Amino acid sequence: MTRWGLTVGDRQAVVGLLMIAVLCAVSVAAPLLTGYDPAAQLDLAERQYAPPSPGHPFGTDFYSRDVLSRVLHGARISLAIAALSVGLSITLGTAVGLTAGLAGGWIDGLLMRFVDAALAVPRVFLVLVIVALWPGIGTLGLILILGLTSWFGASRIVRAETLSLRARPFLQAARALGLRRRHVIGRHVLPNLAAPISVIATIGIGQIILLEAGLSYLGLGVRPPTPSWGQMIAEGQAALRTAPWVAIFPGIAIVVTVLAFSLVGDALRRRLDPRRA
Amino acid sequence: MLRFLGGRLLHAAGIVFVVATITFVLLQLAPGDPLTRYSESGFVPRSVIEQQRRNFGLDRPIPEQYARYVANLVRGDLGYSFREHRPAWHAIRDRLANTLLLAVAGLTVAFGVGILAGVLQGARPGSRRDDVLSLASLALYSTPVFWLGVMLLLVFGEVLHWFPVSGAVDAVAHTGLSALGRIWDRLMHLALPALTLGLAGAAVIARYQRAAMLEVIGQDFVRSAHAKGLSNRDVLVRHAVRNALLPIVTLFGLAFPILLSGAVLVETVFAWPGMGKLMVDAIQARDYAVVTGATILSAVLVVVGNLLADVLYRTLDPRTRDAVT
Repeated sequence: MTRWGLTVGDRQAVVGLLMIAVLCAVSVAAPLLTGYDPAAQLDLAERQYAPPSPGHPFGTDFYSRDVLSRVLHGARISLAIAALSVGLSITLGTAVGLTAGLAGGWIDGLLMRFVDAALAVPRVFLVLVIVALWPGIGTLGLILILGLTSWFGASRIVRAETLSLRARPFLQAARALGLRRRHVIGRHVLPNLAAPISVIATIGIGQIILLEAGLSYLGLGVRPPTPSWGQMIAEGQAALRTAPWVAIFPGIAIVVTVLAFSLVGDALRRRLDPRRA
Repeated sequence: MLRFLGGRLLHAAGIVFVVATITFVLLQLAPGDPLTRYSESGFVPRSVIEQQRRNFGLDRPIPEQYARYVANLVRGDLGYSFREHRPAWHAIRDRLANTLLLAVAGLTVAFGVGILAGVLQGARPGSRRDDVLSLASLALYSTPVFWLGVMLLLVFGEVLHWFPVSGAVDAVAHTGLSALGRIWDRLMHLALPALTLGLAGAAVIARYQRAAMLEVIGQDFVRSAHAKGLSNRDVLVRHAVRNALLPIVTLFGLAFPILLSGAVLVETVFAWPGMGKLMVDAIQARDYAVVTGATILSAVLVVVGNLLADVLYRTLDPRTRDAVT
């Protein structure tokens, strides 16, 4: 316990949540916060690779675009993609995990063998093979791909939680009372899964942001001219010596964003599983 | 042990089979086939493409294609690389050694740094040192591995000139060097990519090592060791750390897929001629066989890594040997 009766974990969560709030505010207000259009080529002759200055706090890039406004607009894209794909993957993971845990038998066996296999393929390889087979997908396609390839771990955890819930007396009582299956799942199983699912979702958002940034870095994620952090770093690497700021600032933005979600996810996990704190 | 190994091998083969099947289904679902890029180019006559389709069996019914696909995989045939005009396996094989070298070097750094950090934290939980290292590993965990690579490249390659900035060997000078010089050249090129990959992995391992230390430190035998008058250092090194290392062995299986994923990005940052770089280049050229081959192979590597971790764990912890697995 520290001041105000908060545990170390709580303090961590408060800091993380504040960071997330600021990030959300920034991405909503991005156009108001900067005087430049992220795609506007300002002045190729005079302002190409302009170093950080009061007019351009993060400098400008190869096309003389303002790096700060691109980083801020990149936050919108990153957060939107992450939120939507995590929503998809959590829904799928919960549905599959619940089905496997409640149905048992061959359905459970089949689903879990599939999940085992999917988890044996390193995540980047799995996403890349799909991106390779469906070239030219847009941002919506990217969200689908990220969501559809990120639910395997979640389904395993949900299944395990469901199995342990099933053995608990209150669920057996609910069944013994003759409650309908849908009622038992909706009122007794799902609410008890909310805690672990919220941990998976919070940590998942950070992971998806990293994955999307990696794909965009490889030139296989968000397509230009939409500004994305990964793609900005790739562009920055081309001029690392002359204009390091082009690669430095979007990277810091990724670290801060992912760290915010890691802090909250970590604090939640400690709260829910005090043994591992 | 033999029965255990047999069961595990069967399980591993099953997983690879399912991975191959998923890949086949994805290939079937995808628009076009490996020859699409020729028909789209407009330069290749339709009759030639039809002929090629027949040659590669792409005109056969899907169940037959699947049977052939599996039979070919069992024989180690991953398909034909249209970009390199040779079997995909040969293209991948030439890059595999570089990826494995990078992965093993990265793994060494990851376990070395991760275990050290975790032990330092776990020995004094709640101390300032523990807090600082916790935050550091969380920050490192939140850092994109490719950006870490670019930053190391900027500092140690571009500014300080300590290490070369790309490739696995010096493209010009390497062949003219003495044997010792060549090894040195390779090590210098390996340093930054391996450090990048290793630091990213260390963040994960440190967290687990810390948790393992806390678990062990609360146990009776540690209290007994303290009670019989051993110094803190002796208790830590001879009793606590040795036991806390055990669960870390299982991480070997967990770390491997993360490491391979990271390798794809790190190889691109440093233009390291490995499997990941090959795969990224193959995607741009729509060279399907190389992409799917590399994916299946990555699953094989992960499964083998898990198998090794299982066997190692059993060898190191006698308690698990009699248990029914």
